[in-house]
Amino acid sequence: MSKQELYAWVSLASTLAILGLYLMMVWGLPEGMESYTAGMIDIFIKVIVIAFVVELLLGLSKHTKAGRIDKDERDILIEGKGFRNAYYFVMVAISMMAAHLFISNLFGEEIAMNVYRATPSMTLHALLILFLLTSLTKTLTQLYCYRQGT
Amino acid sequence: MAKFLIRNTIRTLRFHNGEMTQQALADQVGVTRQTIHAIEAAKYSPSLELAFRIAAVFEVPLEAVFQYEPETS
Repeated sequence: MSKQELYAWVSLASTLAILGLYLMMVWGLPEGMESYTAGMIDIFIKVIVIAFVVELLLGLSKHTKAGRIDKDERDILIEGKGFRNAYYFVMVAISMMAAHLFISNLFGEEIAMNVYRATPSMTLHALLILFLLTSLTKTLTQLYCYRQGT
Repeated sequence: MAKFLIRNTIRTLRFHNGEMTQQALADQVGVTRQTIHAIEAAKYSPSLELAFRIAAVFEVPLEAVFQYEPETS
């Protein structure tokens, strides 16, 4: 496994943990599962800390293997594919959000609120989740390419 | 239009150069071992510059390392 692939796995773990933590803080767990909240938060925080430590160690190991390349043209190409897919994802998501806002302004909240109520705070939550999902799209694309061997 | 494939003889060339490891070749051309593996498996086509660097390591012309051939089914 190359260093860049390892970075992608670490990024995937930390993004999922942050997303899980954020969703739980905002909406909480479904009814009947509230007792697991503390345990889940503990797990998510541990994952974020471990991901941070691994990333730190990877950064430090750069100086131990002299002459070894960390990132080459293939890594840059794969990263480019990740950015491309993340861009497509963000364009579609923002277009859908804009359409939702447009419809709710034109026809009223009751038609558009099936997706989410477009209040400023809900729009902020949606944008933050979109940000995390975009990062996830990039990382998953990279991991797919690395696993495919392309 | 006929489909073409880029084949390579890196595995053979490494064998004839004192059984050079993928890591040793990667270090000499400035890429990761995984990239050499992907090139050998014909899953990744290297840039022209990298292709020339690989050929230079084995001291052979570029066409002795990479061949552009029609795909045979």
